[in-house]
Amino acid sequence: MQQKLIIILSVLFLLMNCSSDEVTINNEDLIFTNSLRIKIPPYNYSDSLGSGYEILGDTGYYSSYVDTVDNMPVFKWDSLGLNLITVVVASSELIVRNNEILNVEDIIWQWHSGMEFCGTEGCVSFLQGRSVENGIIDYSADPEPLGRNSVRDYHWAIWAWNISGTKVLYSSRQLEFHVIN
Amino acid sequence: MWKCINLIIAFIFSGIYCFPQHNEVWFDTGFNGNDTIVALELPDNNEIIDYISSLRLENDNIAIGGYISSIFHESIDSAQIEIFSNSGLIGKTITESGLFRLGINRDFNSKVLSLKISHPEYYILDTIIITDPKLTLIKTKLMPRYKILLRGRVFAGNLPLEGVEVRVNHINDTYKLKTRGCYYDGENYWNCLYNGMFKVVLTAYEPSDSISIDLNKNGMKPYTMGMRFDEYSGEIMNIKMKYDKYLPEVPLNNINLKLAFPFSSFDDDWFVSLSYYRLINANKLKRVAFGIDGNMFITTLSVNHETFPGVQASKDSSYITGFVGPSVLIWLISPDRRNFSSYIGSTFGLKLNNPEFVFQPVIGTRLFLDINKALSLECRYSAFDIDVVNYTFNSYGDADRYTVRQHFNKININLGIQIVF
Repeated sequence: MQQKLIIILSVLFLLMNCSSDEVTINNEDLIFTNSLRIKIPPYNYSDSLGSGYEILGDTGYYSSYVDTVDNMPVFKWDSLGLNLITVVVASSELIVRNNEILNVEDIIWQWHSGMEFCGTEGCVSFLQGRSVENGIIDYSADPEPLGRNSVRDYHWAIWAWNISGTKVLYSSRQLEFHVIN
Repeated sequence: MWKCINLIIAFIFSGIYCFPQHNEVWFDTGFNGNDTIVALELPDNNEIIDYISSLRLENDNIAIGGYISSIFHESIDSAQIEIFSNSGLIGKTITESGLFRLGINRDFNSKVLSLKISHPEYYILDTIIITDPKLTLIKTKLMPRYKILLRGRVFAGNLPLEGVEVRVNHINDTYKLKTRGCYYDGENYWNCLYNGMFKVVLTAYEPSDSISIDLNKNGMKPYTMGMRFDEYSGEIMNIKMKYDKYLPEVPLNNINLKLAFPFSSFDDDWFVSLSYYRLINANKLKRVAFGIDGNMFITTLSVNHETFPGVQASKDSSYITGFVGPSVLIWLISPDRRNFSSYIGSTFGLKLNNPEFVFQPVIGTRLFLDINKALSLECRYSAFDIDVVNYTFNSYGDADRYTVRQHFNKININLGIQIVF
């Protein structure tokens, strides 16, 4: 009888100490290192004048080659069917600590899943996003074209949250591009 | 093919069972190595006459003797021999291994006397004899009566019941028995093969004789059944007794494991509880029990927050709130009732997550499944605070967390299994 009581109490104790163990993900090359990968494959796009631009995406990450784009580029990635996703362009390299971007003031353009996209998910044009100043999105007007104030080099990245919007679950590499004209 | 294999296996097994049985019969006679079956060897006339002649007669008595066997050639021991004349009983004796002898007064020589041979397991033989002055030899056979080995097993539900008082009534005879329990057998094994069983050998006057069986046990409803001898098939009767309205004795201790499902809780909670109670063993307080109760509520809460404009998100979280503390129960309906003995009470629980005392009033009832196991149904109220985690969406990283203390009033109906002892 005593043995049975001990077993029952032990099971109860174990149940009370149960917690869900989350698997730690570590992808050092992604902007959010504790997230799963959003792939950016090589792609092409043309501007309004018909000029073509080739983006190397992830394949150019380890090379010294920097993609060259116009002042209103198009951003593409492999669609994952995510509800909460965003694309940002920053004037300098984004710094992430404790799963949060520290230099938010460097972000100058942002698109998110509450806005329109190209027609297929995984593609947004520059005009579909909005300008950002000190982390505040300006929904009132179209975005300012890139390359103003003599800034030509930019960084861009994509990340997405879990379904509850509490944790960044997916992210891409932080890529660099150079704006001409 | 399979039929053939089955036959071979059956043959082997039948051999295993048959051979030892033969051996037992032969060696049990005690005549090791001798092929004579003693039981079937009847004494011949000379042996019977020698036995009778060795009787030392008093005065002028003449000897009467003989051999009594059954129709199956078995000698009948302890059969009562009575010889009557017109004036009444003149001689009486008992058979020994079927043989008997007695002396009667020579006055009754050549007279017609009446002979009565009786044995409880055989039909009475009532006949007349004419005596011989030298020696009267009587050899006769008795017809056995209808005899059964009445066997039964008494159950309560599907559990064999030991210690049941069994009374088997047959005309004027009453046999009092008790059903067996488990016991250590000759080889020191704990043997429960005959648990709850009784058996009695009954001999009928007529095959149509009636027998009645009365069963009695504390905590069970008395049971009576009737049958005729010739209705008994020879198999073990399975008899089920019903539980009485009251338990045989008030159970002092109980251990209760309780569970409430989301559909039986007002807030879709899971609830688990383990409790121990002991009834105060005093005459006036036999309805008050004290104990300890450990329980926990598993509450799932959903919080909503705004993400990007026009996009809402929600987060489900489970909160485990545990309590442990002393409890008191007051039985409104006596705890020795099998059905719906009901109680009210309360647990004074200490919250395990943070030190807070919570008062959990309960009302419940229980229903016994057998002698020591019961189902319980209980309604429990509990009010406590939970620090609910809320989120603020951050478009540049993980969401910010903050907690809001919320008060909850919980009512659940839980189902439990109880063991009393």
